[in-house]
Amino acid sequence: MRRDCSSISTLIDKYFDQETSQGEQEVVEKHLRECPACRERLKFMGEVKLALQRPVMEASEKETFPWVWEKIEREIRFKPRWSLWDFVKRRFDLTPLIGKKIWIPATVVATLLLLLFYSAPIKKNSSHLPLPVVEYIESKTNNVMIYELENVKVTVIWLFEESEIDPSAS
Amino acid sequence: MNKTLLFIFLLIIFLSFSSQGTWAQIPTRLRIIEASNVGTMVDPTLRELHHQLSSLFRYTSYRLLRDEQLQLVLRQTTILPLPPGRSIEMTPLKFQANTAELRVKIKRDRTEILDTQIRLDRGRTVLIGGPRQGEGVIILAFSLML
Repeated sequence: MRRDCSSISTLIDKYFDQETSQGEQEVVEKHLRECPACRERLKFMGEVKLALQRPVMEASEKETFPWVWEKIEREIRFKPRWSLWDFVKRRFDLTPLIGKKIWIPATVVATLLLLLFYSAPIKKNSSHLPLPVVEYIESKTNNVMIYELENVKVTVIWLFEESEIDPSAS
Repeated sequence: MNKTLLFIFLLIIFLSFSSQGTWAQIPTRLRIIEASNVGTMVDPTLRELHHQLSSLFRYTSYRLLRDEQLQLVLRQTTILPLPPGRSIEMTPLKFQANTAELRVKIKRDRTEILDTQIRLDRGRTVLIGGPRQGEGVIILAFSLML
């Protein structure tokens, strides 16, 4: 190799990759006309490239890329079918709530609201006496009598007609 | 935050409905009986009630006019005709621990002749009687079918 060869070897690599500018190309071609060693080197680089390209091309030809792409598309389109249980679980997923401390305040709020709504009946029934069977009674047209037989759990409400004084009672 | 509020709301609804039994159907039996002193016939279906009736009243004949087995719905009014020319309205107000509070109204030609609220529990019978029916009177027997 002449002394110029070492300085031009980078340009030769660029020339081989077809990345040289117009000026650089002229310089390399002029040198190649005069330097058989560089010509041999360029030829060797071409043979190496060909030796590497051939198996890659053969391998790529063996692969059916359209089929591979179709397979990829199918994978993309595939969506797992959710069973009904999975759907319900996803829809009403309360696991984020389990980690949060909302159980205690939620229960307190619910209990307070229930006490507020039902505090009246609780006050009414504070005594231990049995509740009356007849809670309320009114008649605008008749006299009324209430009679209870506790041993047989029977309560009688009797309406007296206007002309009646005593019912047929024993 | 939305899930938290939804959870609290559902919890309140569930607790209130479970204690109140809002959607409960109350199995109620209403027997309409004609009691009189004409004859001594006692309807065979009234044998269980006859002992109680005879201890309360001096009528000799008891005839079952109607035997209604109703599924009353809380706060919904059920209206039945009563002979002659009357009607009965029943509205369950509460149903808790096998005890029902029932509002009963008896009307004659749109005039309210009785408005009462009674408490029925297991094994109890409430008799409402007195309205005239021919030679006798009408007796209504209320009980829960539990």
